[in-house]
Amino acid sequence: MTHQEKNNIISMITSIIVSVPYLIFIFNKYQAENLALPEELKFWGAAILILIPLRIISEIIVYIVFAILNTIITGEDEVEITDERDNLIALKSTRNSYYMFIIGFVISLIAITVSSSPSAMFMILIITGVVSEFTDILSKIYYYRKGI
Amino acid sequence: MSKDFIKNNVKKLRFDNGQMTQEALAKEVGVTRQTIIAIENGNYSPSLELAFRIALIFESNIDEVFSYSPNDNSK
Repeated sequence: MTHQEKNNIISMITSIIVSVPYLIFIFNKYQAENLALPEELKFWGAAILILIPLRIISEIIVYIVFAILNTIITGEDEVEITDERDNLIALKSTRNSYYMFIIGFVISLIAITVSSSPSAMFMILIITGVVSEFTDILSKIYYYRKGI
Repeated sequence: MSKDFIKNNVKKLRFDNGQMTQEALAKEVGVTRQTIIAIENGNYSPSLELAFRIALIFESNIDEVFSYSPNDNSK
């Protein structure tokens, strides 16, 4: 398994470990609190704002730990350069991720039009964010394994 | 996909050039070893610039390193 594949698998695991429990916690909290409309909007705004740094910090910590463990176990130095193939794979994966996000965004607009509930829209947007992140990582793993 | 169309002799040329390793070739042309592996396995078609750089390392013309054969796709 190449360094890039390992990196992406670690990102995937981190994303599952951090995002999924956070989403479950937020959805349970929302159901328990029974908020009125202005507080409901604040709640979802805060939920998204907390998720972003949480993902960034967890990604940085896990990447550092992975780099140290990888160096200890395999003896390889962390001096992988990024070349044209890596850039192309990153571009194609980001494109797939955007497609997924656009689909989710349209579904969230349909949800708010049909149900008139901002919570439905925010729930779909948060789930879409996580799913599009998974799409990005899985696309990278696929392109590194199968070629582009 | 493009990998069905573009064939290459990189592996053969490496061995003909003093059994050059993938790592050494990768360093010479400024890419990762994984990219050289992907090119040799036909999983990645390099940019024109990278193709020329590889040909330059082997002191060959680009058509001696890479060949385009659209008919192979119909097999």
